[in-house]
Amino acid sequence: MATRLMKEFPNRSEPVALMGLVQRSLGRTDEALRCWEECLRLDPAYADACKSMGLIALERGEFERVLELCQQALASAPTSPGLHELMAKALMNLGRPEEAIAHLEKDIEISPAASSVYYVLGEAHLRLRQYDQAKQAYQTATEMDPNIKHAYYGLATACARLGEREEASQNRRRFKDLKDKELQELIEESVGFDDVVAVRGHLVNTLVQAGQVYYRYRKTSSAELHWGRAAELDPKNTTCRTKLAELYQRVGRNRDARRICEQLVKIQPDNPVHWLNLGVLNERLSEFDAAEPALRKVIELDPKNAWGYGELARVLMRANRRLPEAKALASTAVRLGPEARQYFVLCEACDKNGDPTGALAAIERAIELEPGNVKYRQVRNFIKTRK
Amino acid sequence: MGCGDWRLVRSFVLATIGVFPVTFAHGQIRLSNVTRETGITFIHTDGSCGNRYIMETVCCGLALLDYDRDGDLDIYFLNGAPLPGAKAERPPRNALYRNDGGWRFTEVGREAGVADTGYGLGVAAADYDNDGDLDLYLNNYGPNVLYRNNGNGTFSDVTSQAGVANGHRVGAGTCFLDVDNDGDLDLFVSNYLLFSEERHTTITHSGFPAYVGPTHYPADPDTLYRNNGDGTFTDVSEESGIAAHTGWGMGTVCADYDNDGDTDIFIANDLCENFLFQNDGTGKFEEVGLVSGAGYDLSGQEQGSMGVDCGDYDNDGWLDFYQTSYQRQWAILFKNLGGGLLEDVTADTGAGADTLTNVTWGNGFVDFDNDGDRDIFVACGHLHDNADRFDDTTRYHARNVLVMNTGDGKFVNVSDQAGDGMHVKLSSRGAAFDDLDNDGDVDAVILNSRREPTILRNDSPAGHHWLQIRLRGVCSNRDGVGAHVKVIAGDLTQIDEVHSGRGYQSHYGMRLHFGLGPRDRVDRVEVRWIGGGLDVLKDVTVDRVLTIIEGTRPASTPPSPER
Repeated sequence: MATRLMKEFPNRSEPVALMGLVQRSLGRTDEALRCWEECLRLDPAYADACKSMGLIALERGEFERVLELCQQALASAPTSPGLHELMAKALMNLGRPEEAIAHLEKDIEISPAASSVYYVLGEAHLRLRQYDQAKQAYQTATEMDPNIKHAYYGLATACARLGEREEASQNRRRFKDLKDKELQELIEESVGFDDVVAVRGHLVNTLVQAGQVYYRYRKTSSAELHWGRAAELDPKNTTCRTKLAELYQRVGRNRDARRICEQLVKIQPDNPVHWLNLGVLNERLSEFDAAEPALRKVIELDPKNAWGYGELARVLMRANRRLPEAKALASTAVRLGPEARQYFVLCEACDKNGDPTGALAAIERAIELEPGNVKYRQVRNFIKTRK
Repeated sequence: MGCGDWRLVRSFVLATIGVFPVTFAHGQIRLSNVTRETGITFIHTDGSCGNRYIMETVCCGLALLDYDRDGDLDIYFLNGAPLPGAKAERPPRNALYRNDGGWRFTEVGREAGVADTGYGLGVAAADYDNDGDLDLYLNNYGPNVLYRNNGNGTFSDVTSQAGVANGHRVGAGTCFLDVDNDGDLDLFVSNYLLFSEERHTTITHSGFPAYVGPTHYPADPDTLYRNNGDGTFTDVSEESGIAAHTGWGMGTVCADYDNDGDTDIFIANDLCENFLFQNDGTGKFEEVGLVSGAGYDLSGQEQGSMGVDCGDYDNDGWLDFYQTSYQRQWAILFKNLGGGLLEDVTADTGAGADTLTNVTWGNGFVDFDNDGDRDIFVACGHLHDNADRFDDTTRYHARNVLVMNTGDGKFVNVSDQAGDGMHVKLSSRGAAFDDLDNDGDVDAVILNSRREPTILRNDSPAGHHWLQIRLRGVCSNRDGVGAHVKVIAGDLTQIDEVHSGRGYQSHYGMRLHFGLGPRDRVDRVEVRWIGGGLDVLKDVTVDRVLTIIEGTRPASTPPSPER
């Protein structure tokens, strides 16, 4: 597949990069490195190639090389997430945790929500015996991701060194519980282990990447074919399905997009984004009875996010149901996410509930937030004229 | 002098003997491959025939012991045995090579009665019956074997009388230790997993046939036997607290990690946390791996742990641990912080150099250059014989690794500069270290899977002084297993303990070796015996083997000739 792509798109960096990934998955790291070097020759700014090479260097214990490659990648992609973290890992292995901290702080600026960065930061402080800072970093990591088991180990160590015995003990217990669970899963996987699973995983990943190359060069039918094949091979893969849904939406195939979203909510029932997409697609297809429960699920899963409330308000208005509730939902959406789109929804909700003053105030706020939006201005003029 | 007096501190002032000129080249280690010269023809077999049984991958260890009490160390190699499907015209046997001096060895396994045909995995030697000679315990796949030394160069299989066959399990490391300070040696047996033919299968890696990992089989708790003092043992795994914890046990070493006078047990576990069993002094153990920091690396990651050795690498008076592991994991140096705590200092010290791409096995804290600090030797080689075909970052046949202690808490990789012995590429497993030619430096023997062993003669530049100490217990066990020795020479203070069973399922180093650098006298030697007795010797001459008998004057041995 990678060879075919390279022939189909000669002198393009993406197919060569994909070939690198394929070689890597086959354990041929020397070949993979050659591909990524070729990729960089074709596109010196291809930061992902440097990052992939850096990961191999890390695995081989060539830590100075990791630093070189990451610096090269940062020159073309200074805000690419994960590069500073990779450098930090190399520096930690070189026994230079102070320098690692500086890089981790840069990565936090780029990806403030990445729990793994805080976890590595905790370890760097631990190495420097800066136990207060280590504890703080580990705590942040666990707050962001309660299942980041190794952070509990670090937290326990930091607390123990600070003389906080009870807290250390609690974190040790939490760590051990998560570890025992992980071991149990490993044992279960081992019992049914079949290499076909791993090989299939590599193939699926390759299909997904190939689909992206086709999509980028506007060969949507080929992209659809590859992502569809990936979905067939891996009934639980969300990446290929998410990309397929996006493709179908873009080309107006909302029923196909909805079918994929239905699969996604089955695979990841706790992911509010899949439910939101499903609700929105049902709304587009005027299937309000299906849209409403999907959007209520979004609110249940992520009650602090504005989108579920706003989209549910829209569905109720389009279905002409429970309009006061729609207005209340739109108000909540504005409170949680004061964005132009939510004010626009609130405007409509006020209008439908006979509150032109509220509608006008909402649309004025939407225009303030998004002055270039013509539709908002048309709506404001319409409300004013009608008044 | 009776045993009741040996709590008294005694001092002996020994006569001064010659002082060697300081002509050493600092920090040079040279290990020469002398395998061909030794007459050793042993070829290891793992009993394989393509069916890929998991025990093939972990086979096996070796022992260095003076079985005939002639003053030099002999070599005992474990061996595999044909597994289902495999045929052998002559059954593979364990081999005992008698040291004839001058780097020549003669195979005497059959005459000595120790040519076991079982599937060998781990071995330890100790004088379990306190009769003055070293006995052998083999931890096999299948029934284990206890060979009692008859004192005349032969052994008798006393397994069934002693009651230590340990069922029909997949063994690993094993150690003798005195868990309850009663003067005789008890027996710890590490168990790997509960194998069954029905459960056995092979898998593939990228389409290539491969071995299953240990988690494919249930883990098996370890066994502790208490010595009854009459040639028999009692299984006390349950009452001692050992059986309450289950892991895929591999190499093990017993040591007083908390300096409280009794012996604790460190077990390197494959794919789950290591166990550190803390002894309460009566033979009851509490597992403190997680609390102490021994269970996981600094990140909280468990290792595919293989072997473990201990030694005080930074001469701070606390025994540290070095644990080998699987590919893409460092071999880990755990620094003993005191207070019952260990800390992974691998990255800060450089002690894991060149281990990430290897599966690592046997290991030892050894002062190869006699400069007063312990270097680290690591045996390497993948367990998949076809690993090169599906992963070009590693090798089935690999070079071993030697990191030299620079004396400031750091290590540097000197494998490339340490002689032709470090250029051998095989798939090593057990490794053992001792002074095979009695010339005052430590040599090495490595067992290689499916191949000949590697015998490394230490040819490092002479000039550094040294002292070897052999202990003779009187009230405590005969070889002083578990005794804690402190050697003070000017500004240098070192400690060590006598171990029976260590590293990767191997046995070595009962004669303690202390490199002294340019220091030509030892100011003080302290021996804290198991049970609490203390002997102190002052002003000790160097470059010789010193025998210390518990509670008596040290036996005098002549200094080694100047090299």
